Amino acid sequence: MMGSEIKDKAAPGYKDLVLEVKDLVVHYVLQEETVEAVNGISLSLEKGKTIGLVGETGAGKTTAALAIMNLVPDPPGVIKGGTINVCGYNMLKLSSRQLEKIRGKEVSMIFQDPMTSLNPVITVGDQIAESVMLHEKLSYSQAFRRAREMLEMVGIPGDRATEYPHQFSGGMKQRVGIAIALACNPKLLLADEPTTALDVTIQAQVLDMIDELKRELGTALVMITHDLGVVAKTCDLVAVMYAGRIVEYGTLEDVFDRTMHPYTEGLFNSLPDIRNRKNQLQPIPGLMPDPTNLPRDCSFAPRCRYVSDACREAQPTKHQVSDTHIVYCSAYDDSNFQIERARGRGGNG
Amino acid sequence: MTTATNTLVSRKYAKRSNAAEVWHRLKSNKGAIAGFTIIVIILSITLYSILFISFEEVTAINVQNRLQPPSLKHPFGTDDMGRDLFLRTLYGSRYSLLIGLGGVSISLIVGLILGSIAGYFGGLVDDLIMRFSDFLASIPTLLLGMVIVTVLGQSLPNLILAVGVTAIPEFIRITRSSVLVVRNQEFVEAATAIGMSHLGIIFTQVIPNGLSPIIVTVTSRIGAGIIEAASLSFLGFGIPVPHPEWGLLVSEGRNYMRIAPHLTYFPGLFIMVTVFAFNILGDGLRDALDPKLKK
Amino acid sequence: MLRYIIRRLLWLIPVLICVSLTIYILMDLAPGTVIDALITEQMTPEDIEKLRQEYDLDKPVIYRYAKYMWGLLHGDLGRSQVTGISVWESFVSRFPATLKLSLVSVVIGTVLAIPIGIFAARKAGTIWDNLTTGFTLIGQSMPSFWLGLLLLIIFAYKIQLFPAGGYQGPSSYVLPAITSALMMTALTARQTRSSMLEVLRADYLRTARAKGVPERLVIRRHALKNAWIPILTTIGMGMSRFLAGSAVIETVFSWPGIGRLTVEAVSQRDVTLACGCVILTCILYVIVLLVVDLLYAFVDPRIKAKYASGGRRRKVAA
Repeated sequence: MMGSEIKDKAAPGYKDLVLEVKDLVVHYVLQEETVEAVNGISLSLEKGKTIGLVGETGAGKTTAALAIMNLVPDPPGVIKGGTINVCGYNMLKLSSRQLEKIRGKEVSMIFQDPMTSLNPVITVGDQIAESVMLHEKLSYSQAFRRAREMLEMVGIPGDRATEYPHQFSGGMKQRVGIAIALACNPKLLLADEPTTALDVTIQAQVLDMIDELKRELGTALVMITHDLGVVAKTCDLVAVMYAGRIVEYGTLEDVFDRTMHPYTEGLFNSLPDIRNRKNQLQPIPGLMPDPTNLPRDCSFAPRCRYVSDACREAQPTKHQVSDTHIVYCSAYDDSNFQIERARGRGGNG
Repeated sequence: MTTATNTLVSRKYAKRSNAAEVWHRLKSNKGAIAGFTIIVIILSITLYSILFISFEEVTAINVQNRLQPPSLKHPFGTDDMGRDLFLRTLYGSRYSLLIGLGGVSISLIVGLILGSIAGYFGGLVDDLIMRFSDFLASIPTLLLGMVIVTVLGQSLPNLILAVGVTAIPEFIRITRSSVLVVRNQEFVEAATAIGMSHLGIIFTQVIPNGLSPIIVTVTSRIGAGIIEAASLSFLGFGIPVPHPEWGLLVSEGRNYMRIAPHLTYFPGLFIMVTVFAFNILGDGLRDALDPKLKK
Repeated sequence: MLRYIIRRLLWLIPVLICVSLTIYILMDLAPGTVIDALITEQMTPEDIEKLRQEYDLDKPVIYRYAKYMWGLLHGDLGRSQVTGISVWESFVSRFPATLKLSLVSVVIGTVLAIPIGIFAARKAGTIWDNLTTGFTLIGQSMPSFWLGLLLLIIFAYKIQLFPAGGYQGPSSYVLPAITSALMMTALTARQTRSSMLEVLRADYLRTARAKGVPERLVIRRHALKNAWIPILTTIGMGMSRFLAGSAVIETVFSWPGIGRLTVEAVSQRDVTLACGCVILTCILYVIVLLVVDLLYAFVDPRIKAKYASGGRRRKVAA
């Protein structure tokens, strides 16, 4: 369907790798200052797998996802460097016509707020069918039939395809969003906090559904969330982000059971523990640094309880803990260093 | 714009205080600066004309001098009675400014009072005031102006009143909707909770917080009022001759369009520049008061 | 939907009663009466008194108004007090000229304004945006009578390309149409720009782009459809304002429309004709606004739902 010349054959083993991001840097250049949103992240994802992108609000997760689709709003957004490879396509080198053919077909996205991400004046059926018509060259009636099937698949009666978004509840709108994203069977799905705007009871339903559809269709998934529970439930791999960088990267077990980075540990410590309710929550002190003025040393240092002089001198060093597990923290330059894990040990004053 | 950039942008603006931020944005808005400068120039012209140009000077008839084209002696030429158009035009700036500012004050005061009552109390009062506003708005403005001037007689105060009355519905509507927006916010609830009176709440909480759209409307309404008054004058419903009101000057020039078009050019140009200055200032204010609209 | 239309039309009745009462009484209170022009030097006081009686001027205003309204209830707008011609007939004979001119300028204005507004919004913050904003602001700041006169001086007197006025043949439309279309364009383009700017930030455009919708369609299908409401409002306001305020342009170009008719009636203290003109203009005004409101329902399903449930217009507008 598409000229092979735009496939980046140099990417190793591109048949299995659905997504490969290398050293991605994205800045928002405003009149008076530059917001350094993403500062060199790398990750890769195989067919059918799920990676969780975890971090606080403002860590650059959404920007990273938009960059993967090459949809960072420009201006003010500028992709300063790095490569992004989706299903063999070099997303940053393609023309806008080529990008339009890939978006929605190979890679699609579910957005955070279902209330605002559907077009209020177009029926939901038409919004799903539009994508099908664009990418699969079907007639309107065929595409609309597909739209009805997609609605049924996300648990909405097909007859409601002729209704408008304002006639649906929040959870249903998010299902519609999922139906739009999955309409053309993409190989990669980016889910940007898909459940944050929903009621807790609906959250589980929507997550289960994403999980089930992903299994059924063999889609790889990037799950962006700040909720560690969601990560535990859905992900194979985890990348913990802080101030636009990945600080810890590994399999779910690596990151959850063999936590290495002080920030990741802090995230776990700020979760309530239902089995030990007397246990006090330990929030991470302080705030994320100002993204317009990031320190040249470790950006987590001001909040870190293990901080040493070495942390104040340079960017944290990379430590390959195992084949799958990477941590960026200068404290591990000292081979005896270990963090104290509060969870599972029952209270750690 | 994405949520991500929105948070970033709002974080950026949070660094300065609100008023300082508005001032900063207004200063960097070239249009607003230009508008402000033109208004200052026109105000100086008006002041000059009040101090140094007498009414006799601009109304004295000198038929030998009639319909002269622009020259060094008469920069804008002379009219059919031999009067210097330059002096007449400068003299006329006071009328337009008075009408613009006076008219908008009338509609602002009435609109603020009725609009905030309607928005704040709601219910039957709201319904009555809004019906009144709808009724006033359904009479075409120029017609209403014509009738008011006809009834009360052609004079400057009546022209101001005519311009003021026609804009009342707009101010009622805008005040009401800003009040409605503000009214439902928490700081108003907080003020009620500490036992503030209705009037106190309206003046200390509601109006200051709903001010931006009102300021913007005031600025652009001044321009519209000047045009409306000029149109009424042009149709013969303005200040009587020989007062050199700009609309009247254009209307007088109309009779000599073929042989002395300069009589039409200059007064009209002054109307346009003045109105433009207020419009572009209003535009700049809108951008400065609403950070969402720019970038 | 029908219920909504009926309610809007019923609302016209109290408005018209208030409007006619206000205008009639105000006009009546105005210094001078319609018979002033009829009185001559030779008339005796008895003759004048007879004339006053003929026009019911010896009775209170309310009597005259009641008589007028009685006629109105029977569909009779009365006769001009100056010429004796039926008000309805004079209005109807003058109306087509105004309608044609307003349609021409609304069409030209809209066709020009929407692309200009979209262009400015997409280039927001650039020199192109500033240029179009400057152009539209100048268009809005020009008094229409002045623009009309300038066009007359240039195109009718200096390079006699178009007639200097009157209402004969297509060439007589050009100058008045340009004059009023420029105002329409300026207003509508500004409105289009600001509502497009609002819409261009919307999340659903990002959703559309993420589906791979080509940029051209993102604007045309997804953005413009949402920006239509304020644009329609402006077009409707422009149209109704033109119908009502056409007096100025009609005077400049000696255009035989309803605007000039009204001006003449008011200046001659012709209470019946003036009142009739105002009432009929108000009806037109309200009908244009109603059509615009109904078009809202056509472009926005949420508003349609509100109308269907009998929602009030004001809440929709808010």
